[in-house]
Amino acid sequence: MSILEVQSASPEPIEYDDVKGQRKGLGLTGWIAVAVLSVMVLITVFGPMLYTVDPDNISLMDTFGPPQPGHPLGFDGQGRDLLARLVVGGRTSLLGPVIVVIISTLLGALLAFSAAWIGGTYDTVVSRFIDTMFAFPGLLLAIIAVAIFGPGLMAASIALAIGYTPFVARIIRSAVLRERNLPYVSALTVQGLGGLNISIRHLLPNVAGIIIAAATLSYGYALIDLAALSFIGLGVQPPQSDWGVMVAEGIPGLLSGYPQESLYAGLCIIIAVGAVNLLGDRFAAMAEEE
Amino acid sequence: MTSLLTIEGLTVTLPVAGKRKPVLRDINLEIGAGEAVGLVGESGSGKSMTARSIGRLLPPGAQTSGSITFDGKPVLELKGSDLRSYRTEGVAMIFQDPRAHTNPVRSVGDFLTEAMRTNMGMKSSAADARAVELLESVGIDDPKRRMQQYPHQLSGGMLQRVMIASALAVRPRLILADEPTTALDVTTQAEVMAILDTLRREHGVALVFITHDLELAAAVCDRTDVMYAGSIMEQQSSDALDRDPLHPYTAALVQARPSISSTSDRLAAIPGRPVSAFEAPNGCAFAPRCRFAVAECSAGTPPLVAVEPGLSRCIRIDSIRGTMTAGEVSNG
Repeated sequence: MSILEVQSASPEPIEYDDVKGQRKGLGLTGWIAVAVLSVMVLITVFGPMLYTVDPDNISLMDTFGPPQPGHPLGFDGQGRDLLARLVVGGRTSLLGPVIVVIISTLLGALLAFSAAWIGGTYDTVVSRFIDTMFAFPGLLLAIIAVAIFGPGLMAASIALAIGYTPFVARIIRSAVLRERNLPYVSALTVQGLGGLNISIRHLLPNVAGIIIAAATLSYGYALIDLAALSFIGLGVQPPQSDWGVMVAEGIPGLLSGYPQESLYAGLCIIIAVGAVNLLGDRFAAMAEEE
Repeated sequence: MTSLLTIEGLTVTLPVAGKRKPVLRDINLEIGAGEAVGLVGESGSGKSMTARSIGRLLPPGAQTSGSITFDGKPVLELKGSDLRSYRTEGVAMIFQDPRAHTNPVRSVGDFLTEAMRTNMGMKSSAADARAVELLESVGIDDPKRRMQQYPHQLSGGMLQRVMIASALAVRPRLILADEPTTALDVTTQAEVMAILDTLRREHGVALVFITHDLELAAAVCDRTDVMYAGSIMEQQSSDALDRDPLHPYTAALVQARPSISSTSDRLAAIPGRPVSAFEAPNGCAFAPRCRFAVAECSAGTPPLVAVEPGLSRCIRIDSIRGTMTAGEVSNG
C-alpha cells in the first residue's frame, strides 16, 4: 500500500453534535412518552365506542371473576367489567388535571407577567403573597374547598389549581424577569410600545418553552393529587369511574386475594404520570437549550 | 434657536447594596431643534445614563431630581399614553449593540413595522411599504428580502442600519445615539455615521451622539459636552475642542489619542483610573488625576462657568488655558 493511498483515506468527519452531547428535539424518551400518552388519550376517547360493554352494569355472578371472552380483564368486586371501567375512568382521570393546569397556568402567568413587568412594590407584594401560598399544600386547599362546596371533580380541580398557582407563578416570573432585562426590551420600550404589548407579543413567545414545561410537569402532579382526592372520597364520586376511585374500591378485593382492580388502576396512574414527567423533563431541557 | 430639550440640574441616584449612589450630578444640557450634540467621556462617566434618563429607560429603583423638559413637557413626570407618545414622536434611541437590542425570533420587517402598526395605527400593508422605504433610505439593498430575514441573518452594520431605520420609523424629533458605531468595524462606522448625518440634515432631527471618539464627535456634532464622573466638565463647539480645550480632562483626552502625523514611542495616558460619580472625591472629580491640580481644586465642587466660547468646570482655566495641550506629557 502506497503512502498516497493512506493519505487519500480521509478521516471520518467528526459529528460535532455528538461531541457537544446536545440533543435536539424531544429525543427517544420524549417520543416514547408522547406515543404512550397519545395511545392512552385515544383509548379513553374512542375506546367506549369500540368496546361497548357497559361499565356500570353489575353482574353479581361474576364478582371478582377472571378474564373471559368479551371481558379481557375480568370483573371487579361488584361484578362490573374492569376494562370498561378503566377506559371510562381514564376520561375523568386525564381530564381533571387539564382543568388544573389551564387555571393554574393562566393565573400564574398573569401574576408572573404583571409582577415582572411592573416591578417595584407590586412585585414585592406579589412575591411575598406567592411565598405565603407555598405554606398551604394544594391538597389541603382542595380538601377545604371540597368541605365548603361539596365533593366533585370541579371543586377539587379548581381548588387544586389555586394551590398550584404559586409554583407556576414563581417559575414563570423568574423566566420573564430574565427576559425582561434583556436589552431588546428597552429598545422596544423606547419605540413607545406599551408593557402589555411587549409582554404578549415578545416576552410570552420567548418564555413559552418554560411555561409549557412547567404546565406539563404540574399536569403529572395534578393527576396524582386528583387521584388521591378521589381515593379518599373527596373527588370523583362513585359509581362514576375514575382511576383513584378504582384503587379505593379495589381495597376489599386486595384484602381477599383479588388485587386486579387496584393494581390495574394504579398501573394506569403510574404509566400516565411517568410518561408526563418524562415529557415534562424533555420540555424543560429544551427550554434551557434555547 | 428654540430649545427642544432642556435638562436642568439632573441628578440620578441608584440603589447599590442598600445605599443610594449618585451616577449623574447636576447635568445641564440644552438641545435645539435639529441640533447635534456630542457627549464624550470615558466609560462610566454617565454618558449612557444621561441618554437613558432622556428616554426614560433608567433601571428600576433609580431616583431622579432636577428636570428634563421636551418641547414644554416635563419628561420625568410623563405617564401612560403620554409617555408612549413621547417615546414615539419625541425621542428614539439607537443602541451600541444592535444584536442585543433586537428580539432574535422576530423578523426585520416585524421589528420595523411594530411601532407603526401599534402606535401610529397604520395598516400593515402601509407599514410594510414605509419600512421598505426606510430600509432603502439607510442604504440597504433588496429591502423586500431583508424584511423577511431574521436578525442573525444580517451583519452587524446591516443590523445597525435596521436600528436606525426603526428609530426613524416613528418620526422622532430627537435621536439618542448611544455609541452607535462602537460595535462596528471602521469602514462600516463611516457609512453608518454618514447615514445618520444625512438623515439628520434631511429630516431636521436633533441628535444626541454618545461616543468615546473625539474626532467622530467633532465630525458630526455642532456642540460637544465632555463628561467625567457623572458631571459635565466642559462644553463648547466641537471643532474647537481639540484646538482649545477648556478643561484639563479634555486636554488629557486629546493628548491620549494616537496621532497619524507624528510618531511617538509611547501614547500619553491619563494617570489613575476613571472614577464613577459615587467614587468621586470632594471638590473637582478630576483633581486626583490632573497635572494642573492645586490645593484649592479639592476644596469644593467647582461650578460650570461660562468661558468664551463655552462652559468649563475648572477653577484654574483662566491661568492654564492654552498651555494644557502643549509641553510635557505625563506617562503615568
